[in-house]
Amino acid sequence: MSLVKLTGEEELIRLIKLLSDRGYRLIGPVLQDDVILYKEVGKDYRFPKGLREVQGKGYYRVFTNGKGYFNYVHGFYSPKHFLHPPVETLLKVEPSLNQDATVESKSYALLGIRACDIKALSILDDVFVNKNRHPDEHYKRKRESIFIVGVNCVYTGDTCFCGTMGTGPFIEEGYDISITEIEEGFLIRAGSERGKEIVEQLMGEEAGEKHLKKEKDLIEKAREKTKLDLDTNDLHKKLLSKLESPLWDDIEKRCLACGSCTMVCPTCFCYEVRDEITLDGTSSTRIRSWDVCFREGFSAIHGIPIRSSIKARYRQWLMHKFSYWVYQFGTYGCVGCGRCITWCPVGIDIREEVRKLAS
Amino acid sequence: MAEPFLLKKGRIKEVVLETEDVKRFLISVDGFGEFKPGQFNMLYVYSQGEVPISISSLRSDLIEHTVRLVGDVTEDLFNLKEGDILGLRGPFGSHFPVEKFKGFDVILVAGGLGLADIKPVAEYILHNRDYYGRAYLLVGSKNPDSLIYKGEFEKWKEKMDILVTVDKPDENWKGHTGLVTRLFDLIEIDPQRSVAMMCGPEVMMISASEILIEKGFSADRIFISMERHMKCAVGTCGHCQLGPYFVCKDGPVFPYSEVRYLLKVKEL
Repeated sequence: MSLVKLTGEEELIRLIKLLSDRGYRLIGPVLQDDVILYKEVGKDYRFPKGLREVQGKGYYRVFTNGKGYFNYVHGFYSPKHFLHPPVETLLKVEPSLNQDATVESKSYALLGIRACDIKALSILDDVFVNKNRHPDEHYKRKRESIFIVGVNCVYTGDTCFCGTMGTGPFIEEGYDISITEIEEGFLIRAGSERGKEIVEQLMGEEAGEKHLKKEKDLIEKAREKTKLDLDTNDLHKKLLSKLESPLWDDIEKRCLACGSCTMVCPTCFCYEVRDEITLDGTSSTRIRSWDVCFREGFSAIHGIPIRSSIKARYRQWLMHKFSYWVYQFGTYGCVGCGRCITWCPVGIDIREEVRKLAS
Repeated sequence: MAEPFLLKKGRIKEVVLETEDVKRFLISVDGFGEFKPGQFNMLYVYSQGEVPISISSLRSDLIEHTVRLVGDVTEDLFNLKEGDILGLRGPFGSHFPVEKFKGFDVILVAGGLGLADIKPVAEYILHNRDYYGRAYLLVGSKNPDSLIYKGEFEKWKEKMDILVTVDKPDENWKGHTGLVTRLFDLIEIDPQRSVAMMCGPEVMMISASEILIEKGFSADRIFISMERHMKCAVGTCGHCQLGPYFVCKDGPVFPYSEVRYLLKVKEL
C-alpha cells in the first residue's frame, strides 16, 4: 500500500469524480459565510483554490488572494458533524411501544480532512464502538462506510498544536487516500486497499525520492510550528492532582460558559435525549442532540445541578480532555486542532491553561 | 437495529403503594437477561422519556422497581396501573460484589429510597445465609411514614439484625432517632472480617464510610452506590461523569477507595 503518485491539479478533479461514481456522498471544504466549512457537495465539486486562513485566539479570517489549494486548516465543522450529527433520531415509538428502529446508513467521502480530525474520528470510534460494551449502531453504521481523503498540513494555523498532542500534521493511519501539496504538484498516497484502487486510476508518475524528501521537510517544519513547550507524558496524572488549584478561579473570571468550545471540538460527544410527540399522539420520536457540559443543568439530578459554578464546569471540560479521557479510553481527548481557541469568544487558550496547571 | 436504544416491552403486573410518594412496580418482561444486586434499568414512559431506576429485587419472574415521585418522568410512571405497559432497557452498571464476600460479616446501610438498591443485596444474603457471618441492615428514614418495605422487615428479622432510625419521629415511634451512622455504635463491628455496602444520600454515604474507616475498616471493603444524571446508561451521553468515571457503566456501585478522593472535591 505504499503507493504514492505525483499528480497535477486535474487529478484532484478526477479523484472527486471517481468517488462520486462509486456512490459516495461527498463532504468537502467550502467557503461559506466567511468560514471554511465541511459541507455536502455535488459531483462537480472542486477543492477551493487560493484560500488563506488566519487563526488566533478568538480570531478567524479567510482571505481569497492566496496561492495553492491547502493553505488553510479548518473552520468550526469537523467530521463529527456527519458521524455524530448535532441532531439525530434514535428511535420512533408508538403508544404500543412498537418501535421503528431504522438506522440510517450514509456512505460519506470526507474530502480534505486533516490529521487531527482523523485522529478525532478514531477517538470517537473508541467512545461509541470500540471501547463500548454497547456499540452505538447509529454511529457505527455511518462510520463503517466512510471514505477518507485526508490532506497533510504543510500550512498550519496559529492555534494548531497537533505536534504537541502527537496527532499531526502528517496522517499516519486511518485514511484511504492522503494528499500533500508540494511545489511540483500533489503527492497522492493510498492508505487502504480501497484507496489504492482509486489512486491507481489517477494519472501521474510514481513519486521520487526528491519529492518525498521535500514532503518530509515541509511536514517537519509544520510539526515544529505546532509543538509547544508542554510535556504530555503523564499529563493526565499531573492534572488529576490539580482539581482544587486556584487557577480554576482565574479561568472562571474569563469563561462565559457559552459552550462554543464543546460545539467546535471534534471529540466532544455528550448529548441530550428528548422525546417529540406528534400532535395526534400516535408516535413519539426519541431524538438526541449535542449537549454542553457548560450548561448548568447538564449535571443536574432532580433539577439540582452538581456543577453550579462556572469554574467547576470549565474544570470538567478541560480535565475531561486532558486527564479523565486517558482513564476512560486510553488516549487524550484532545487532538490539538485548536478550534476551541479560535472560536472562544473571549480567547481562552487551552494550551496556556493546561501549561499553567501542569507546571 | 437502533442499539443500544431499543426498548423492551414490560407489562405491569402489580403495583404496591409503599408510601404516599413511593410505589413498587412488578413488571413482566420477556427475555430479560441475568442481573445482579445494585444494577439498574432505564424505564421509559411513552413520549415522556427515560429514567434510571435500580432493580429492587433479585426475583426474576417479575422485574421489581421501586419508584419515588420526583420529576416529570417519575410522575408519569407513578400514574401507571396494573396492565399498563412501559419500555425498559437494561440491566446496566456494576453491582454490589456480595458473592465475593462469603465468610464475612455484612453491614448494609440504607438511607431513604437507597433501601431499594440495598434490598436485592439483603435478599442475596438471606438466600445464602449460611455463607455469611453476622448480617446487619441499618436503615435511616426521614420519618416513620416514609419507611418502605415494612412488610419485608418482619420476615427478614429472623435471619438478620435490622436497625431502623428516623430523623423526625412521631408520637408512636419507639425506635431509634437521628442519623443512620449513629447505629454503628449499637452493633458489633469487626473491621478485619466485615464488608459494608450502602446506598443513600451522598453525604450520608461519605460520613458513614469515614466513620467505618475510623473504626479500622479498609476503604476497599466499603461499597457505595452513586447517583448522577444519566440519559444513555452506556457511557456516551456524558452526563453522569464523576472524574475519570462514568457512573452509569463504571458504577453505580464503586469501592469507596476508588472514589474517596473525588467525593472530597466540591462540585466535581
